[in-house]
Amino acid sequence: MRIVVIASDRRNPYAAALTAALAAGGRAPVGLVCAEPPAAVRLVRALRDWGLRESWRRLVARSRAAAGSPGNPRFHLSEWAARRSLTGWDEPLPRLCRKLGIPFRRVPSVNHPAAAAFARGCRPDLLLNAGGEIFRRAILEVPAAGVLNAHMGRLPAFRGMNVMEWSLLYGRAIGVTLHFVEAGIDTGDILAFVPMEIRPGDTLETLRARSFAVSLEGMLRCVGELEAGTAVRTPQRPGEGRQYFVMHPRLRRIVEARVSAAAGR
Amino acid sequence: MQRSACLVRSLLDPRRHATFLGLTLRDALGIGRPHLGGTGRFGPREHLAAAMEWLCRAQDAVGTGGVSGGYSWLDGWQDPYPETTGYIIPTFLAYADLCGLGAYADRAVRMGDWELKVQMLSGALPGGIGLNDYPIVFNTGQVILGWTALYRRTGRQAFLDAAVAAAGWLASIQDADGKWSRHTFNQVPHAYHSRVAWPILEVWALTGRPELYQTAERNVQWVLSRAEPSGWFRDMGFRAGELPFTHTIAYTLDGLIECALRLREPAPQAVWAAVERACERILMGYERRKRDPRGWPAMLPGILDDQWRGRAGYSCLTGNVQTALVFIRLFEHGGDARYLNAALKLIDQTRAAQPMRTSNPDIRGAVPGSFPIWGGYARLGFPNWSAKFLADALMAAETAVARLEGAAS
Repeated sequence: MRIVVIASDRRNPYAAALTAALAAGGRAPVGLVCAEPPAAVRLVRALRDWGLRESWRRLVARSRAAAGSPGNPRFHLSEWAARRSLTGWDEPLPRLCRKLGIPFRRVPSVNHPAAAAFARGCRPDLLLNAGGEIFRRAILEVPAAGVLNAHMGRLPAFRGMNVMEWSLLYGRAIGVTLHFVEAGIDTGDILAFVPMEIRPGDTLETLRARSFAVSLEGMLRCVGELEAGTAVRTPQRPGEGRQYFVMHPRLRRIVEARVSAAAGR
Repeated sequence: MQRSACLVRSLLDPRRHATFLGLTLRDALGIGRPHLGGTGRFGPREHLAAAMEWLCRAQDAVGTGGVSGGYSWLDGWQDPYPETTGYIIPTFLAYADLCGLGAYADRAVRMGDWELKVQMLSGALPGGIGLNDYPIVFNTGQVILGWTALYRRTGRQAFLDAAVAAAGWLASIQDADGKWSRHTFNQVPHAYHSRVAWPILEVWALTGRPELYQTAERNVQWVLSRAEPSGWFRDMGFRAGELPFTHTIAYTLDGLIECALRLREPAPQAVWAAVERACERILMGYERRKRDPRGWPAMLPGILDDQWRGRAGYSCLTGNVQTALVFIRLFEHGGDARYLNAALKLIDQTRAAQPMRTSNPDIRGAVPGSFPIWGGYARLGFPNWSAKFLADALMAAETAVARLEGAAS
């Protein structure tokens, strides 16, 4: 099966771990598209969406977030990679691709014509999404089998953004849904749901961070099943579930309190 | 002559020009825009207190007991506005209860007493800002809301008698099909008269008069007959064929919700279904107004069309917080927290436009009609109802969030 990975930025450890794991399993991607806008555009967007103070706070928080902290996805990806004796998972994508001989292309957006052109040139059966953009038709039409995505909540009930938070707010099961991407928001066929549990000491941050390793495991399992022809695609019915949006900080604080209570902190 | 003198005085007031210029610059540069990280240095309680204190100044500015219609760049303080003074009364009573400030309840009583003085012999209330000689259906309904709230609080018969007379006038001039087409703003029937049916049901609840219940129910049925499959209601605008501001869209929905809470089964089911259809479209349109899926939505447009598309380059701030109130009621009814989530964002965006630090007391704590301030709704002005609905929305949001927090603990 010919696979192309779509990443959101060059230093995306999730995309790197996925690529390294596929290569280690004998399914090295035939291409990697890195959809990353120029730094100036990212700066303007951050200021527009977060404001100066919050942008600065996030920048500082990110630079301080120790890889050894359970609130950092790298902590869980590192554990996951160690279990598989995987190397190269924490390298920048261009370097990893060079090492593995995978064609690499940087584009400003997954919906940029260059992304679809590059992917088409790779003649993929499957695109694996390791980014966060909404896919438009041009890129969706490239792979023969479809675009596979790991969604941080249970589908079809929780579509859209911050669905782990929304699931927790409603007291529903948390986990990752593996599904195909189509033009609607999280409305494509479902392959699997991998549940997660709240462990002692967990926070919303650690749950979100751990979900990256859970997504990787699920993604690889689904790729295997698709290749073996054993994958079961469950279509979603129109009108099922609800689309959720970015959660307001007031509601997020309620969710954090619930996680703290469940984690016994 | 007096108006000319007032205009000249206002034109020579440097503080007024400085503060309006400052606000214009702030809006032009997008300073203080809310974002997902927060909304600045003031919390919801401080914004609420500022809005209420400004409403007190609006009441004191006219010295009648009524509340000035608002403050504008060119005209300064406006005359008292019977309609909005009426629905500001419940806001003052709620705030008095929330903060234990009896002075606010006293002010509400003064407002109610002033409304008694301006009530017409027919039982109706005059339309427009100031004291005019023509009755208007919508304005009459809003004053009833104040009187019934005061009657429940004080037990004073005069308030109930006035409300009964006003409701009786409304019943007497209703068309057979449930709409009001006489004595209406711009001489056309309005879907937002659902917010007249609601106060009539309030009077029915206090008096048990069946004809009032029938009047209100007939109007609700007529409003529902304006609904389209898209959830849109025809005739929500101020004029025939005119696209509505979010202000009157939210009036329509709010009125329907309040009626649904008071009507006997099975009538409320159809009302809730119609409101939910409309609100789902507004919610989706609002939340999707952003380029980055992780970002804060752009402001709700001030005017929507029958496909729920934005038709204004500015936001109607009172419409925003009224929509937030409708969303909070929907959350309380059905438990869909997406509505509370969107309401909190709408409130944050509105309070970000509230001048909090200006030294000019005439606008400190007030809420502009539009964002940016030169937008097409109450241009360069601060209507009293923007502050009233912001205060209502802040109080409702606090209650809803506290309830969720209680459930969490």
